Amino acid sequence: MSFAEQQQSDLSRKDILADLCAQFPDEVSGAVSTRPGRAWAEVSKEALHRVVEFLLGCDDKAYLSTITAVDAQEEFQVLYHFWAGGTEVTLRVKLDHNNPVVPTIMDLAPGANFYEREIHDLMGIEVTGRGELKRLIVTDDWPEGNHPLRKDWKGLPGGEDDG
Amino acid sequence: MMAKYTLPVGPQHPALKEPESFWFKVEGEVIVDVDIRLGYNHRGIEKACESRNYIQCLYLIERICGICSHSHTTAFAQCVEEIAGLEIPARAKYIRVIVGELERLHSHLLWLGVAGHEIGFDTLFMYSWRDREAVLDLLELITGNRVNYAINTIGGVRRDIDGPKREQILSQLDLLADRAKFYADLVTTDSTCLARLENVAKFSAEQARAFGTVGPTARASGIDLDVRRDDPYAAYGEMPFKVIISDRGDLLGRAIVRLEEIGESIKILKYALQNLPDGPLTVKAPRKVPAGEAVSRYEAPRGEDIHYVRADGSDHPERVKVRAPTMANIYAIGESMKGSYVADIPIIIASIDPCFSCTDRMIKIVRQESGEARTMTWEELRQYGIRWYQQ
Amino acid sequence: MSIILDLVRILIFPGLLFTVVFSLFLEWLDRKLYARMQNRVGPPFRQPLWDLVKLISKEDIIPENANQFMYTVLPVLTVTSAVAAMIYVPIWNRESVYPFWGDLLVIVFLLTIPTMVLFLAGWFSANPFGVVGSFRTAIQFLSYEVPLLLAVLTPAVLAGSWSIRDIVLFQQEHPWAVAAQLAALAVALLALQGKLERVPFDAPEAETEIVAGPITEYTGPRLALFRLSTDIQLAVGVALLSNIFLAGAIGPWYLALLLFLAKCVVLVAIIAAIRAMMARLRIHQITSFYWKYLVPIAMAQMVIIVLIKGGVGV
Repeated sequence: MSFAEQQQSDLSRKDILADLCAQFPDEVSGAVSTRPGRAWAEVSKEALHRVVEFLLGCDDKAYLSTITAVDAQEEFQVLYHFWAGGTEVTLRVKLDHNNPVVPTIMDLAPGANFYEREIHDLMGIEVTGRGELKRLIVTDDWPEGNHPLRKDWKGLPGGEDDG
Repeated sequence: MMAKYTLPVGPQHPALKEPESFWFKVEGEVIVDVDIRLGYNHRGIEKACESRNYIQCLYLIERICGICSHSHTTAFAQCVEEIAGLEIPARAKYIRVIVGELERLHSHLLWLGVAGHEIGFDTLFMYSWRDREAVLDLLELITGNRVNYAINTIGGVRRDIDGPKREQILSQLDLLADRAKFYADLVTTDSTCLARLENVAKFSAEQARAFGTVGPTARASGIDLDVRRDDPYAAYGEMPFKVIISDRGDLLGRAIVRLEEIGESIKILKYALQNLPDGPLTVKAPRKVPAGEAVSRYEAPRGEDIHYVRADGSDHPERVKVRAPTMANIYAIGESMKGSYVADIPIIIASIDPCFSCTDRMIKIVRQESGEARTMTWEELRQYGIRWYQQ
Repeated sequence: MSIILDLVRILIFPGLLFTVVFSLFLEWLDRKLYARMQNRVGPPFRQPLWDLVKLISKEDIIPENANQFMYTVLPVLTVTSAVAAMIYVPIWNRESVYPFWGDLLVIVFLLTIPTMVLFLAGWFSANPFGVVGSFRTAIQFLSYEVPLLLAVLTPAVLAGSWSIRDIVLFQQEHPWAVAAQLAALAVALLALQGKLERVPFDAPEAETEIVAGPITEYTGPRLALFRLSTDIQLAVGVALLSNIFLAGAIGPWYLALLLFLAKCVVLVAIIAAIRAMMARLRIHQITSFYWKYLVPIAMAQMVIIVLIKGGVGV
């Protein structure tokens, strides 16, 4: 066996997506694997906590990579990227554009702390169940309701816009 | 004397090479709490990417960080290539690996120097930065630049490594391997180094996993994770190397992991240079990328670098997200600092090899004073300065 | 006539002017050797002077919350006490210009003043880094002072006198005495390293931790005085050690001066090497190093000296 094959066989790549669908037949939808090692699935925000718990418990290396918030015009999407079972699993939570709220997952992954504060600062996603979301990236005196990464943000009121 | 007080480290402080703010609550010499604020280096890169085309984005992303610029461009290019369905030529994959590993060498040597300086061992700093020059010369030889190499393009690489260059790089590698061994011996045997590094800022594998640490910081706590092996990209599936792990979990563990990784990088470099496949450097990339999204992972010198790109079918991305390794590691550092000594603040911060430019990248900076929208243009500021000095 | 002579001695030689020139030379030597050990070029010969001139010509800033009186008095006090100590050190002669029976003790006492000043400087500068630095300075003072005193006591006990002249004369008559107290010299050098707050004992002014410790808030001419004071303490330290441990100077004045300089250069080279070879220790590691290792060594040396004295019967 060549070195490359040896290393390839060492990859403990489980079919995490199948496990996920079997475990949560109703909560998980739109599960696709775009290529080996990448998996995408959509989760309702009510089921998020349970699905995350399952993913982080599926092997002893699973961890939260990061959280991305996307302004998809008609809705907000919050993407939770996990490295679990040898696959980068992305959970997509779709949120109402007028009321973007997700539950916290800090109790499961303490490292989510900064990522949740980041999406709150920049995209205006509220995170419930973790107390006050302190400013992390923008200044303490940043005006409420200004979220720079939103598509409709036009700069601070009265601030200099150097484009 | 055991009174509680607050010690501000940053945004400007000699221990920090970039602005970032840590507020330490201190009792005597012991840290009881820490509050971290990011954001001093925000340049709005993620937002700016949304209004630029993919090639412009690539050069903007190159400038997220001066040290791991190749990591960021590779991660971004991989995202775009995945969405567009491009398979880059084998030679280009190898050249990406070669530049990436040289970058790791120079980053780890740079880290060693900074760590030496933080514990007051300036001689180590001077020596390791002298040796780092050799790596920078090699990078300049390949790419034409000491930093911000700009070797990546979407669909391949922009410059070739020919025969003489290959020989020149190979001839330097043995010297660097010797030096890395020397530093590893020095750090693990010198009594003052050991006194400062052993059993400081320890965290267990469970903690490291819960905090989401990545890269050498995680591997020093016994977590067997390396994107190059677990989720191979470019040509890493073919490269012979060992993932260095230490179960010490302290500062010494993080130093050992980085120094031994230099040896593994040199192995990869030798293999890649000796087995460089023939062929073209690029495939043609479309100007407009079809709608889609991709996540790309890259083992940067400091750990896993994640990029997420969402394309909407036009020539510019709809959303670019960058999660630099420091963002993942800094939280763990804040937690592990509690109970340490004030004297250990600089080296603990340095132990994750922080790069705040990477971590901060997103928003537009609006100059503000005390909440009122009072802004000064550059010219006003200049005039103000002149007036002030005339008084 | 004698007042003019006194003024010349205090202001020119071996007082202020000579001391400043000599200490700037030693600073250059220290920096140059340190740089060469680190594979760097190092500063040109006149760099310490230009640094001093630059600082003196800079804007003088006093923080609003700092104690104005202390802020003015302390920098002057630290330099004057260090220069005063230098006047009692023999340079090219067996004795200083004002020799008396207890001059060794007076020098050691005068050298503690700059340390106390440093503590007060940090305390009154209304800066958290200054306060941390002050505490560390005080803790370190309590650590190195005992081994330093024990080490300095050793040649005094051997010679049976507190007078530097007697100690030097004794060692010139009995050259074996120099070899008998090498351990005390080592202890004294390490204690001096701590007194001057140099690596590995530079926790009180650790740049990457607490910026500059007690002198964080000082700028311009006041900072220049503090830096000058450190240089002078270095000069006094090595000059004193070359006298009481290395048998001082002998021969015609030019030869004696060369001998004196050579001994100082060797001592500076040793402490520059210590600085280049080590990492900074934490403050409690410094304390335990001095108390666990240096104090017992100094005690043992003292016992040996007493036994030798009893055996030889000098």
